[in-house]
Amino acid sequence: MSLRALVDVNSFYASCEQVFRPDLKGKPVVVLSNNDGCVIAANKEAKALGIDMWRPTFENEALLKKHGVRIFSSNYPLYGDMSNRVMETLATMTPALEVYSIDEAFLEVPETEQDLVGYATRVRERVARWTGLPVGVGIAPTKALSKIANKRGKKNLGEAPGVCVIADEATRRFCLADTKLEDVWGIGKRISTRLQQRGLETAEDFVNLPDSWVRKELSVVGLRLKRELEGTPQLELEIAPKTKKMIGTAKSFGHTLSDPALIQEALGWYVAEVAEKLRRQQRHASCMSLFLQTNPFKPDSPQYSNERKAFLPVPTDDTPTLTRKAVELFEAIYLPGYEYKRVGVWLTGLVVPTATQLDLFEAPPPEGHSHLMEIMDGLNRKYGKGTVRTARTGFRRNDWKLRQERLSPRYTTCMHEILRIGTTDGHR
Amino acid sequence: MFMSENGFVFSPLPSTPEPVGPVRTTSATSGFPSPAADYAEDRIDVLRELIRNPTATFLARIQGNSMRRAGLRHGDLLLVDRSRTPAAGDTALVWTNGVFAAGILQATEDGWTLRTADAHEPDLFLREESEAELWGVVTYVIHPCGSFT
Repeated sequence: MSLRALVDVNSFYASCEQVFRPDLKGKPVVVLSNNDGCVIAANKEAKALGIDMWRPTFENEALLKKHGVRIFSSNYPLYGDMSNRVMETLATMTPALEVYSIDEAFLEVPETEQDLVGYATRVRERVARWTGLPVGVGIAPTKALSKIANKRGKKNLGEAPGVCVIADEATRRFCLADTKLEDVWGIGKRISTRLQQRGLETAEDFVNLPDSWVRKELSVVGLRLKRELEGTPQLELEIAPKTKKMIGTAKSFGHTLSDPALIQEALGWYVAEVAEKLRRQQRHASCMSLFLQTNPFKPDSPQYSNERKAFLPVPTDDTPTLTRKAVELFEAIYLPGYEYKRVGVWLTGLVVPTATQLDLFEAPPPEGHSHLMEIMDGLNRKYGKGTVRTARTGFRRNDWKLRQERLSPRYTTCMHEILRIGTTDGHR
Repeated sequence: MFMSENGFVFSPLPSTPEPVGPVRTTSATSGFPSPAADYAEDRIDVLRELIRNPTATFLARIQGNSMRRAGLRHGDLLLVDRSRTPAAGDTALVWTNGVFAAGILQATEDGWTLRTADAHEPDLFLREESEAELWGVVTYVIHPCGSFT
């Protein structure tokens, strides 16, 4: 029988910070959102204090202060690199790996493996040793069951610390009976409420429903989930990376802005970021959406938000062309007299460049632009984001950039910020 | 910073010119065929020699001269490989008393002793219950010379 393992990192963002700060081991740590606006990650010590995720930071502030919780701004360059290190480590221990999210992966358990608990424990130990990060491992015949196993492992309900294996019928039955409906992968709040109204409580109750009913009420997707929970794999490992349907970013400014020129500078910066992502995926965009919003957390000040979408006559990945389009859209929806807090830009209708058709009425980007973009991306990767950029992005970044007051060093991606040895502050 | 005609802003770049990679040659030469062609080998890849396991290797920089005793000087770059099994005589990076420090590992009956490189600090015992943590094994120390410091 072929088995899958779900491996995920415990409190990934907080754990990344702790790797380089052994003094914070066992202490409460939280990580804030992009603009320090709210808590997006908390380790188990912080969660135990009752810190609410996704609530605005200022509402959690008293609690954070009272317990001396260590607070970090989100350091995505660090988390991204640590995630790669975890995936690379896992790849040394499996014939097939599906990276499911920044901190989770499905592994195919090697066929020859006799001692499953031993294998899971070795995975945990190797990741901990190589990267410093704690992971949990759940092993089962299907993805949905390995999710359940992983959760049990985390609660130390499994065979070894952080490990749970569901490989035989009796264990599967027992685990399903012990898993609440809302904890099942793929059963959302809406469906679990509906099932609860029919008197269902556990994953076992769900599996005991007749196939015909599940199919009728929850479609073939529900039926597939039922099969997975019964131990018959329906979802294969997806090893080839999926190409994205859309690429975009929405960010809040450090403080509200009313000057249209400043907002355009920020916008130019975000467009450059999104366009680079587009080029990395080797796609051209045929549609752009832009939105603009005041601060909804300040109900006393005048509120306005608007969104506008436009097609690009010739699908493109060219930063100057995309920037021009974004400015056009911005000018169409910008109204003076408001304090703006957020701007977002999305590219959709992503196509493979060779399929691109020239438009009769639109001049294609000047020859040589794509080479220019290549050079620009190369320099920016090497010398840091924003080293080379279009004039639109301007020089006043400090007037609008994200608030990230508690940012840790980029220990693994920036030469000037690597660990320092021998200083009493240890870091900077 | 300056701006080019097509609206690009250039930030100043480091003055050192970028090293150029090996000259690419086509298989067909216009003159005589190279007698070395059949014996071509890859040029030594220094990074691959120094970093055996990039996944588990982290960089660190020495600050100050308190660790001279372990041969570590201010500005030295450490390659720290967390996947290496420590052995007696290895240089290790440890976390102790709220700081990272480097020193030389010595085996004792019940664990490791770190001869702290700091001349003013006593030796350190690394045991399960102690506050000190062995963070990784230092595989190479890169010491910048002369004007490169």
